[in-house]
Amino acid sequence: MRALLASLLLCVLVLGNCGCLNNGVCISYKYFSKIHRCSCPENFIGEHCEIDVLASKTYHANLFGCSKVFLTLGLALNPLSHLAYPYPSNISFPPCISRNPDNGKKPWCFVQIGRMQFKRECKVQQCSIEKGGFQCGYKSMTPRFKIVGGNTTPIENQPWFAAIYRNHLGGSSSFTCGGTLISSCWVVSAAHCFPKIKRGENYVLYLGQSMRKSQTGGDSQFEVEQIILHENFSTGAIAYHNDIALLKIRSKTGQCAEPSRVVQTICLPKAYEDVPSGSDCEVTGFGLENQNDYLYPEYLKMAVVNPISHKQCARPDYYGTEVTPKMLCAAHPEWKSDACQGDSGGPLVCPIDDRMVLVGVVSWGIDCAAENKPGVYTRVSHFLPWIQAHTGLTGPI
Amino acid sequence: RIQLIRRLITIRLACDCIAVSSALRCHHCESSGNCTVETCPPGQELCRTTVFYNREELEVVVRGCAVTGKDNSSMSYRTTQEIIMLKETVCDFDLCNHPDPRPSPTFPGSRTLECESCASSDLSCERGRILTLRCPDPTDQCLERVIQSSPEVSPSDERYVRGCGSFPDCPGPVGFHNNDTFLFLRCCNHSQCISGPMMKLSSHPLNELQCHSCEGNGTHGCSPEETTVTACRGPMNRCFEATGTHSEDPHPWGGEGGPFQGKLASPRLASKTGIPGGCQPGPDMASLSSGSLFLAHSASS
Repeated sequence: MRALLASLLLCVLVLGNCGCLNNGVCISYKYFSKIHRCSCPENFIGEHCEIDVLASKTYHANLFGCSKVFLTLGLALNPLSHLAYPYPSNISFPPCISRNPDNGKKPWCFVQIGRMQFKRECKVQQCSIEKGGFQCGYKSMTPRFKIVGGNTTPIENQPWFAAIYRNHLGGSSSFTCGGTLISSCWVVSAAHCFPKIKRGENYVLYLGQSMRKSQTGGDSQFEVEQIILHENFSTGAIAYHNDIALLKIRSKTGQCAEPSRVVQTICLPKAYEDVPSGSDCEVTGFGLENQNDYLYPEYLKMAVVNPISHKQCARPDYYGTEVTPKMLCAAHPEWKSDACQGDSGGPLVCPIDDRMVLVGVVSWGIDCAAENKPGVYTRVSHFLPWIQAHTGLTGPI
Repeated sequence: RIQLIRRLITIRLACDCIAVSSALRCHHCESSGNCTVETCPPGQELCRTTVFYNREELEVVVRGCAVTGKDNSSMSYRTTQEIIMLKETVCDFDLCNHPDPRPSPTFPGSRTLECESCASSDLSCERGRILTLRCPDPTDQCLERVIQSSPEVSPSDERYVRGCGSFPDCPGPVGFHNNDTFLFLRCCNHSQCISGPMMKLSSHPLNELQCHSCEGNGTHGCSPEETTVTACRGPMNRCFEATGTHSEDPHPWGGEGGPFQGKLASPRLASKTGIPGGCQPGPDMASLSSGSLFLAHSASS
């Protein structure tokens, strides 16, 4: 029976329409070997039009505990997409994030059997963690497909990314640096981003935005109440030393950040903890391209890079003595230019124990694309005591 | 074109002389990422990599065999909600469509050609909500592509697209119409070179030529009852008939149910069996650079 169901499902997924939900229309490109997509009606997005944009706005009020999703009818359910995928049964989903836009008893998904779709509640265990709190290091989406190397990414894939803008006298502002949300009130960035802090420059910060140009204010805008630069920050021949800063944020109404589909904290590493060399880590920032570039220069970009050992990075043909153990080097193994896209102050995050952890802060490097010249990051684990001392946060968070 | 013919002949000879076991092998990858190796059936002498990408989050890559005569092509366009990019590259030796373990920048951005863009899937062309698109690929041209058939097949293709792209049949115009189908492609090479209202078949004036119109099957052709007369329009000033086989890979303009199907690009189809007919651009209008068109001409000669 199970085999029959599975083959029925396979039939529908492969041969039928593209599995478009919510009245999405399947478009099949005949000349491109019938590769297809769902053309979604207004207010629906996602591969299968499964994300209701309007419902998503109230989404964070409907978080439910979901530590593990169990098999139903031979299928694992994806509570994030409402659509049943033949996922492996042992896949685990982020705790306390599930789609439940209609405020039902439990998170639910569509299960597809044959050509019919049924609404089924997820068999989930309630987490012990308080509903609605930050769950550091979890993304509210698990993209089914890889993000194209060094190209754009929606903020849901890097919900801890903060965009920092400097205010100008005329009331306008310009993008300055990236940052990373480590708790509801604190953002980590690079010290070299704030050279004019003593001259009374002031900054504004946005969370949950995939686009650089849209400074619409509202929930996502925060004032920078306080900037703490590392007291030993200095500039070497080419390197920045102790290049780390803490920003305390508050909204116009005096609130700190709240978790949502697009706003999440990153986990901090344990003190002096390292990720293995060769881990697949992600660096995020608004690309450096100018306005003439085609691919949405105003959109958030992400690239996958691998950490390099200090020993290797301190080789004479790399950076020699410029690089210290308080820095971390990471690069694309083939030195592709997309390996170090991203602006200063932005996050380098790596998976540790199934969560994403802030391992580095984008600091410096020579010629992004150059061979043997990896990107150099402030090694966050070496600054954990400093972060804890200044924020009062107890870690790891 | 000469090179192409030579290649086709070479392939044909190779097929005749060497046992079936020498067929091309390609990586076959589903969108889920599962890959196997497949042996290509006769008439499919190329491996392909097909990519769909939009800026939301999706990159879908599928791989497999492709019909002989296909060439690299790309198309990108925008709807009011998203920018859609499609790209297919082909190669011709065993397992040449190797899955790259590292995602590579599939759509390099470094060109200043700007084209008007819209699509019929969200009616942005029909409603005149036309936006500008900066072409992603250095080889792109501005293009306009029509695939219309009645009754409409499901799932449908984009009936009308204006955007950027490069097809073997560029710059065209190339086209075909009969009473059921209208296919059209034209490309041009400077910014905003395609503009104005959406192109329809009726926007082309009648050109005094009339052709038989039918879409029959390969073994029996068209019966007299099925055959009507169509009045040709615009640059489509030659009568045309072609035969093909239903297969995975269709002709360059797409349009399942259209009068010529994928295997048209295979050399062994030069003999006539089915008799679908309609109007087609004359040789002065049509690009002769592509395999498909080459065969279309063989079939009609």
